Amino acid sequence: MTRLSAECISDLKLDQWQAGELSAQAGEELRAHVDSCARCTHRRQTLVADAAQFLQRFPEPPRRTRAGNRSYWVAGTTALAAAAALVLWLKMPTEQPGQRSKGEATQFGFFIKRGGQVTLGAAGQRVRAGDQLRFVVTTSKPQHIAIVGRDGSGAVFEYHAASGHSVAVAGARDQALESSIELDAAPGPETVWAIFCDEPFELAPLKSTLAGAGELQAPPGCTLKKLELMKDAAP
Amino acid sequence: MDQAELAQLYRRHGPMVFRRARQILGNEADAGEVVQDVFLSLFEKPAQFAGASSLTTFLYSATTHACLNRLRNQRGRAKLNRAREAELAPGDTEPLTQEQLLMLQTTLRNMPPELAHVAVYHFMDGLTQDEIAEVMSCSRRHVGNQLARALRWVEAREVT
Repeated sequence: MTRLSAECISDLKLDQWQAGELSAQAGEELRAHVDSCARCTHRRQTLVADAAQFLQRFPEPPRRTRAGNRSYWVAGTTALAAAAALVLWLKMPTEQPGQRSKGEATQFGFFIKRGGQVTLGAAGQRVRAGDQLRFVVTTSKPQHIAIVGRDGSGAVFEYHAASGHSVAVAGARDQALESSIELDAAPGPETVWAIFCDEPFELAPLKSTLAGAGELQAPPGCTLKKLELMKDAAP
Repeated sequence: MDQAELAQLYRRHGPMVFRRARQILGNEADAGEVVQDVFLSLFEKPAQFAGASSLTTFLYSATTHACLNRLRNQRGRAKLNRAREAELAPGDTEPLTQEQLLMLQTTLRNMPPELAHVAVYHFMDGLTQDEIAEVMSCSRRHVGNQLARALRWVEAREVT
């Protein structure tokens, strides 16, 4: 909460200063006050630390794309989370029976958010229209990944990618990806593939193969993980 | 605006939007959704920024608007008996208690929108009337009048 005595600098001015929006003179006056005022120095340090923490948690801007009739959002922020269910959404447990095995270098799993509840997903999972799925990956080294899906009608979707390109991930266990998908209303089988490669790659050839053959093979030097789900209509 | 510019804009201003939304709404989940709403709207309709004195003031206004909308949509969640002027009094430096925040939120969601905006800037952000005038692109006198109306509104009503 930012309640200031009259002589102190407001958060608005500190924000404008940080954004480089103040004139040189106004900036100097503000700096002089901050340098001489323990409270404003502390407040500025708090804002800077707060900003760094926010960007560490949510480094990417929200982005909306369309994949068929699905709503797909990417948000460091929508990751944007904490508090109650959203905290769980971000700090989900990360062992997935049937899909993961301790010590395996590359792993792929997911969590389901339905209403305010977040549960662990598993291979063969029954999901429901409107569920949100969030994917979690483990790699033993920095890699490039993409996640694509194919529903019962044969439609192919990019679930985690950067405009048709793979996305870099760090070498770490149980990385909850910053994107989630919301399942559309069409019931039926849903298959999801995660592709892990050492080099960046484009999705177009993979999607083309998937649309035609309905199956994927791991590109040379890459690892492929697959999940099969069954989607029910919303009750 | 290309992707790199959007990312830079988000990195520069996203933390501020999140911080203010969390402050007004009292929780990070809703604040996160406000960040998404505000930036998606800005990215998809950048022309709305035209005319604002700075991007920071524009985002202050957009964030306040989004938060107040969210509070109004949550009408009825908080059942509180009264909101008094005392809960709105600026000047102390301590964070609001959860009870005070809920009272303030109840007041804001019931208050006429034009008064609620001024109340947020003055009582929650601690802005001076000159700064509020800058954010709202209006005169200081108008801000003073709106603040007086806001206080009268609080005095005259029992918030349920």
